[in-house]
Amino acid sequence: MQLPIMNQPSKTRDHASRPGMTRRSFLRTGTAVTGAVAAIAASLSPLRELTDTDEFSVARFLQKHYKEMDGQDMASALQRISKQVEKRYDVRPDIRDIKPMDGVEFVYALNLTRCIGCRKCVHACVEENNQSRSPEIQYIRVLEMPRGTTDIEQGNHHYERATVPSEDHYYMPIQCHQCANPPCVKVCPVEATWQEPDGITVIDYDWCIGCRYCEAACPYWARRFNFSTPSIPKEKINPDMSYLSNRPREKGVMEKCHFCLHRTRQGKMPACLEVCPTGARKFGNVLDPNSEVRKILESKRVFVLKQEAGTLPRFFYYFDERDPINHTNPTNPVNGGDA
Amino acid sequence: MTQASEKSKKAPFAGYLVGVGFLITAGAIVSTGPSIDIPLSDLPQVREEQIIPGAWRVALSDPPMINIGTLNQRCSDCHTLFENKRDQNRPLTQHTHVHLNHGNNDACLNCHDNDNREKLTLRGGGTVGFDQAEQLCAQCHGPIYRDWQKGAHGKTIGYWNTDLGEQIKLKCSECHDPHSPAYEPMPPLPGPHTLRMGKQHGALDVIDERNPLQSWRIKEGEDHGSGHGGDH
Repeated sequence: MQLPIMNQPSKTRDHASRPGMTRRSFLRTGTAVTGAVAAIAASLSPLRELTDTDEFSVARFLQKHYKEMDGQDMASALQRISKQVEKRYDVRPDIRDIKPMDGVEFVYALNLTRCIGCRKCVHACVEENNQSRSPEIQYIRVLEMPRGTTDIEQGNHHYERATVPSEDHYYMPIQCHQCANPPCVKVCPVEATWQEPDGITVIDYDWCIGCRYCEAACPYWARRFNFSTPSIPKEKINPDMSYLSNRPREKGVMEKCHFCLHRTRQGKMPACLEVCPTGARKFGNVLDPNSEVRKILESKRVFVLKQEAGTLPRFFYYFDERDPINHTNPTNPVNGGDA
Repeated sequence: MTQASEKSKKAPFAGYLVGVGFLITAGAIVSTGPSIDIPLSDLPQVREEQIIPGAWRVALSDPPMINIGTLNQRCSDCHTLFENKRDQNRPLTQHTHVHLNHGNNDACLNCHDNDNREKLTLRGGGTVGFDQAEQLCAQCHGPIYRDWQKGAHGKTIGYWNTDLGEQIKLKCSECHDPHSPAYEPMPPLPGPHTLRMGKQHGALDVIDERNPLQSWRIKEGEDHGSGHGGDH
């Protein structure tokens, strides 16, 4: 058997003897290649400092979509997240994956007659849901609305006053409306956000690619993006966590209100409701005929925001019927003379 | 001819240099990274006591205990010793912390029972204990009472699902001071430090005499519409 390679000239010699390759062109190419390799190495060098508990981890990168995970996958994911939280915040979290209950559809109702714009709900939510303190991420936006409009474009959520409420305004808190026809879910290119059977639209923070399409699609300005690595003081971490709700997020993912899923799926009220000093916030299961929200939807003058968008929100606003004869005490504009 | 060929030889070399320059810049940007973190101390911190969940007043029990001086005492400890007089306009010598600001309801004995100070008096006769004060309130505040019964008024905390835990429906005096039931205006917690978006005050927040919401105020010379807040 003949070995053809023996009859051929060696490749290196062929290169060296090629007439195009001069000393100058060799140096030129060599410098360019060396520079390029050095630049690529410099750009990749931060990867050397990464461990499994940092933002990027192999386990997180290879993790399946929430809906494709079996019990074992979820257990290892929760363990990874738990270790990560413990390393970063010195707190051992109680992190679980809580499934929706059967026969439950959550609905929120907010009484605009009672809201005084004190922003306690905003900050209770931040504490409950481990939101970034700097840069600030807040799920609830309390709009100070001029009288005569429900157009949220007219509202101002940066109001600073000695005391609230202002006599010339009313207050309209806005958070995720957990729409039954959610535009944010439709636009997500990777299905990282979806609607659960109990009506809560959730996000798999490990699956989100941070394209912010959902933020653009939401008519209620409810979605927030982590432009930077969230920072939370260690002593402020809430260790009661769940996979789909308030576990610490990473840079570059979306987040939003999830009706305090880790509380409400265990029967509790959301944190914003618990702290409201005027009882303007109402929450419950609309499928239960005896629930407060069901009775409110049946009996009060209820409306949704931006109905024309066709989003079918599960977040309702309502007013109280006031007695104009008794409402004559100008020194007490709040609840002054309700009969 | 030779000049032209030298030029064409130099051009790709310059191209390489530009490419290398871009790569080094990209590497430098990625490896150092721009820092946009705001220091935590720059944000006003919310104190724990500002966001306490649950009820913010304690309602009286039945029988009510009252702290006079240092002792917890029952009403009857004093009110059996002294004669009770139905005198509406007498300034109080005891219970001086009470400031009655309850609209037309401006007499103690409209609600407190004259014969038994540990009970509240109902209009149709009869008394109720302090733990059932909502029955007294309902006599005047019917629509609010019905709203409260079905849950549209008032605060319900604890568990929405009563199979899993206790649901607590706060009563009237756990939110309202019965002597001065209107809420006092309160200072708001700090606003967001995010970028401002949208109009900060819209057309209806600006004084415009054609606007029917404001024209009557301007004509009457009132100083309304000035409450834009101090942040603009």
